Amino acid sequence: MNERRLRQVLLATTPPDEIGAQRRAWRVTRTAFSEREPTPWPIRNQRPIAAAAIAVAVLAATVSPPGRAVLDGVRDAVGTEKVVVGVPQARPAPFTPPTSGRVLVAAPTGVWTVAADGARRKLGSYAEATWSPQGRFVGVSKQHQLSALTPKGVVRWTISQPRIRHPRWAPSGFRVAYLSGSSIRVVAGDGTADRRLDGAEAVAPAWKPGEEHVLGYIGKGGRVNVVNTDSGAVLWTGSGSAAAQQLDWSRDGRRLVTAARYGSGFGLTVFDGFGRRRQFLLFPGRFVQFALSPGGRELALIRRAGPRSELVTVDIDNLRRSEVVFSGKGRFSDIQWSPDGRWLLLGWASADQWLFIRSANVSKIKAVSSLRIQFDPGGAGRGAFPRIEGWCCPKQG
Amino acid sequence: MGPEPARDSYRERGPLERGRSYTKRAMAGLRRDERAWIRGAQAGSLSDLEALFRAHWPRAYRAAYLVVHDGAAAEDIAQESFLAAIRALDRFDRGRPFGPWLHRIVVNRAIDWARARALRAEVGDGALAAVGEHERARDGFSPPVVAALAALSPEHRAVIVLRHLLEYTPGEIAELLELPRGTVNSRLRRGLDELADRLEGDGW
Repeated sequence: MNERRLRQVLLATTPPDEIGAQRRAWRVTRTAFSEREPTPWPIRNQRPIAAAAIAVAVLAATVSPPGRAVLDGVRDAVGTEKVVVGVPQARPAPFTPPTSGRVLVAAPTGVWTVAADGARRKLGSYAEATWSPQGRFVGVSKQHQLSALTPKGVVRWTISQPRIRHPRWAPSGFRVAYLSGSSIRVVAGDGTADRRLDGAEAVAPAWKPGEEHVLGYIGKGGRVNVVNTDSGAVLWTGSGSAAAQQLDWSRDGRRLVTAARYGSGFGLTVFDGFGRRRQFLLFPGRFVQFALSPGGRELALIRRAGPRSELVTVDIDNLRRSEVVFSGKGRFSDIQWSPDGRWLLLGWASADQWLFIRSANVSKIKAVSSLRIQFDPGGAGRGAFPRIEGWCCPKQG
Repeated sequence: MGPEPARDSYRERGPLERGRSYTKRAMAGLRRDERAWIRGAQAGSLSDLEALFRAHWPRAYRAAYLVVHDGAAAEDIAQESFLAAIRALDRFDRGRPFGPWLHRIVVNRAIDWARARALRAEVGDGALAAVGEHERARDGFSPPVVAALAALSPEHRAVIVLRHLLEYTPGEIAELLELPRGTVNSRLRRGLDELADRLEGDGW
């Protein structure tokens, strides 16, 4: 082998569309660089800087007396000043969701369901939850335990593994995927045949709609893996990021979307069914969560931008088509579509409110306040803001 | 010094001219400039980042392409590797050379991708394999040696690219890939032997 000639040939080899690739890569690199916040060098003996006062913000142009009462009553102390109000005249309790389906909630007191008529039921002292496809069961987890419950809280089965997080029930109803420590595992829907699939980052996995037992997850090192969990076959892998924060499929299973932190912003990546990366776009702000619409190609995401949070809708066929639907002071915590795709449920932790936002007409907002105490009856309601784990099923399963 | 206003310098200056030398002497000069670029980029200078990008991205892309033999995947790998560099920029030790650090990420990701692709072919996913073939056909002209390289295992391709394109010594390759030096030497020898067999009769 003439090694000198080999070197010459390798040097002379032109990868396809080198110039175009270089331009594209530079655009992405430049954007990531411009949005990064350089980490300041530590300064010795620097005194802590006192938190600045944050102004109170009100969404409505006018505030009625009841709204003013809400203003006075709602507090979320950040730093040294009282801050943040949500939508005035929010209903304190009880409330009914504006459309059919049942909401699954994880609160400090445990996992709850909220029925279409507003009835709340506590299922037990669990940390996370996932609906089965028709809402016939709820997968719940806490620490080292994964269980399947009926919607009335009756335990059907339980398994034990270390550090269980992010259970996800497959669309078929016959598999549950979950993280255990730094591994991803799959168990049958009846609690049998629990086995380890692979090493994984701490990102919730997502089952592919329409294909039996195909799972997407973020593997060790950040690669996106799509695997048939029954055969173990790796269907495709995609470049990902160790800073990945979420992945999920479109409802037709034809697109896989991931979100990852990049510098001070975040990037959304859209893969097609063959694992080809179709789109990548950087967004400013700190990523919190996204939810893909039931009907089509729309994605709702929430991000933090300084002292404010924003709810943004994005077209996953063209990530550049996005719109800020709603914004407010403080922290938005959760976003979920209604089963019929007509409403968005937004958790506003700083205001202790849920907002049901009519997705087609954003001027229609139904607000519910005092969520912490609603899921802590008899308590002081000072714990963590309840987390929306799912919104399922127009009809009772 | 704050970040400079963004501008599309590729419109002004065009992409990197071809034929940059990768000789040892040229690399020594590059090393001096590189420390200044890294220092400037850490301070927020976009032009210094651009200089770093121009100096290193083309080789990263070429190395990825020669390992995975797929243009889209190579672009993906090179871009993601550079973004990883941006994320770690503030912690980067200017005393270390940037190239090996970047190439380690690029080549390891390329190996992972190539292995995963080989596994898809083994499990008989005909549709995916057909897509891959179509993409390779669209990649344009491949000299026989590049086609022969693509027929080697990802591990053999990687050491050959690191040795004969990026000019790392076997010891440096061992450090980059966290392999014993003997393994690197063995893979180089077998890889080159297999290349020679495949190219027999083509004047190699």
